[in-house]
Amino acid sequence: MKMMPTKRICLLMIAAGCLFAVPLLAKAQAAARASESDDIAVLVNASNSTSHLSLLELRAVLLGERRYWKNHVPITIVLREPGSRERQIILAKVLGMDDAAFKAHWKKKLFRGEASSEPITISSKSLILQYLDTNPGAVTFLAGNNSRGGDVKVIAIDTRMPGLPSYPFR
Amino acid sequence: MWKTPFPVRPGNRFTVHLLSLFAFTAAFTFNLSGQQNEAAGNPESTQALRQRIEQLEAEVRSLRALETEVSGLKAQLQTLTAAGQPGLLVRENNAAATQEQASAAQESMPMHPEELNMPRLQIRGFADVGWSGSDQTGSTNSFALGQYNLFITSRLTDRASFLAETVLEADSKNEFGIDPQRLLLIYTVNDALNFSFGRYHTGIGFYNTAYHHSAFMQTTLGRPFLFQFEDGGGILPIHNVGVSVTGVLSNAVGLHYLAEIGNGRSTRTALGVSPVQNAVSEHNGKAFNLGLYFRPPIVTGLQLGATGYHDHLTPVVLVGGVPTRIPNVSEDIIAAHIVYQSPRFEFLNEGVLMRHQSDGSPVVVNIPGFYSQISNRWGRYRPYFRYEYLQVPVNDPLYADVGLIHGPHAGLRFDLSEMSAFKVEYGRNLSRSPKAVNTLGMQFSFAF
Repeated sequence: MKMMPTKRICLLMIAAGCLFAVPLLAKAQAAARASESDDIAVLVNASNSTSHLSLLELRAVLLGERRYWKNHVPITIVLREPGSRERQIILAKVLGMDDAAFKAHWKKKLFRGEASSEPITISSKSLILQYLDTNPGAVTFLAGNNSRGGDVKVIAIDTRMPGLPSYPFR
Repeated sequence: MWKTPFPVRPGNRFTVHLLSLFAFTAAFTFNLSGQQNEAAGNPESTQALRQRIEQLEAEVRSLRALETEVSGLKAQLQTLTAAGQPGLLVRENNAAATQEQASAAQESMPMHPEELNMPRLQIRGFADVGWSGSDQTGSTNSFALGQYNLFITSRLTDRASFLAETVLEADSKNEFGIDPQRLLLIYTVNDALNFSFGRYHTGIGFYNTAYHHSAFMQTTLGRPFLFQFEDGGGILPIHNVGVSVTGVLSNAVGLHYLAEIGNGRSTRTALGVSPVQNAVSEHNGKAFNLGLYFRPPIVTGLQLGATGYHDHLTPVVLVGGVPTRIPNVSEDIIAAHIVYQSPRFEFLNEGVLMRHQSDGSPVVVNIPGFYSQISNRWGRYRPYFRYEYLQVPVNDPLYADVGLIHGPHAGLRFDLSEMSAFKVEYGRNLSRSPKAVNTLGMQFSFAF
């Protein structure tokens, strides 16, 4: 039996398989990156010793029930403008509230003397990151593809980091 | 004889391996392709992308509008310069740099970290106007100005802040008076330790610390009679001057505490003395209040707790127009509450037991009181219902004139906007008198 035709066929099949696999692999990686960039990361100043929060702890922070980090630095909540995707998702998934209810909750906190100021609203992502760089107690929520850079770090929520399928804010 | 698909010779083993490798590669890539197709076809991702595009388009529109505004301002600047205003000549010469600086300032001005950490004074206001009438003999229906409340807060440092609630209000003689109803320096050490020094709302129960001097912030037209202000006939020490300490004992279960010491309530109001001892205490003894309450994190909006208050009063009353000391009275107030509030629904329940015992007397006078209030929001409409009860026995040494008050109140709140509301309320007050009193009230309340 002749070996050459068989070998040739096999080599052709391997080449075809590689040509087929490489672009699909590249697409898969891009899809994973896109998925992570859709996730809303919880960011704090890099000097903050907190590296993870449970969902209940995050709820306590957003409701103003917890006002200090473990290192006794006051918590400053920074949110994007009303109507932004990050703000809507975080308020809905953590608190089950819309923006009007969230504002009303903080008005009550101020009125009762249980808080000295409301969460800060900043519309520009670059300014949020700038504020985070210089305020050790700040915490904010940004979509993953804009959260890198500066002296900030991403913290895990319920032991999950952005990009994982079970991450709660996606 | 067993036959193979193709003859298995030494040369063909290579072929078999290669075919296996190809089959594995193909299977892997097909599987990956399936996952991607699933992800690509995921409607949630597509929806998220669409939303993001819409967001970006909105941002571009607002930036273009800002650019137009800046151009307009530049044109005005040039006009002023042409009119011969020398001070602006420098700006005209550096117009480009100015515009650049203005843009940079616009970006950085509200966000400058030092500015955000500086003391920030905020003044908010609350006010209400209304109409009320009843079928009580001798009463008149009246339009009335409610409490004009200037609510001032200032964050002094990261840990210290100032709060004041200054209220202008007309009395039954139509004279306006001004009262600092709350005046506090608040210092926060951490979540477990917060000090408030000054005049505060005594932490008895829930309503008194949740609602203060703003009709807009509360659902109903008026406060439950149990928590009526002292100058409105209320029997509880609503205000106190002293120190209040609050904090979180456990974030995991949402356990909070409060501990207060203050001058307590005056019992010499018959002499024209203010019921709140703002500057001079009648006696050396002080009033104490302790409380615990839960706000379980797994049920946002739920709060349940209890408080205990004690004071030793030295009342002076008018007997035949002559100020007369009566035996001192030991006062204990025990309160419990369970409330649930969500953006749409609220259910408030509180009970209070006030006990008075005159020195040297074995008789203890019990004064029970409670209210239950429920409401639900449908769009801008929030109907509500409250039933309240308060009974002061005739042998009480201090508040026997209050007697028995109980009855329902039903009303409707309509939110005109985020900052204003209209309320209409019907009440039926029953007492020891055979004739019940029906009341009707309307109120516009607003924040500014």
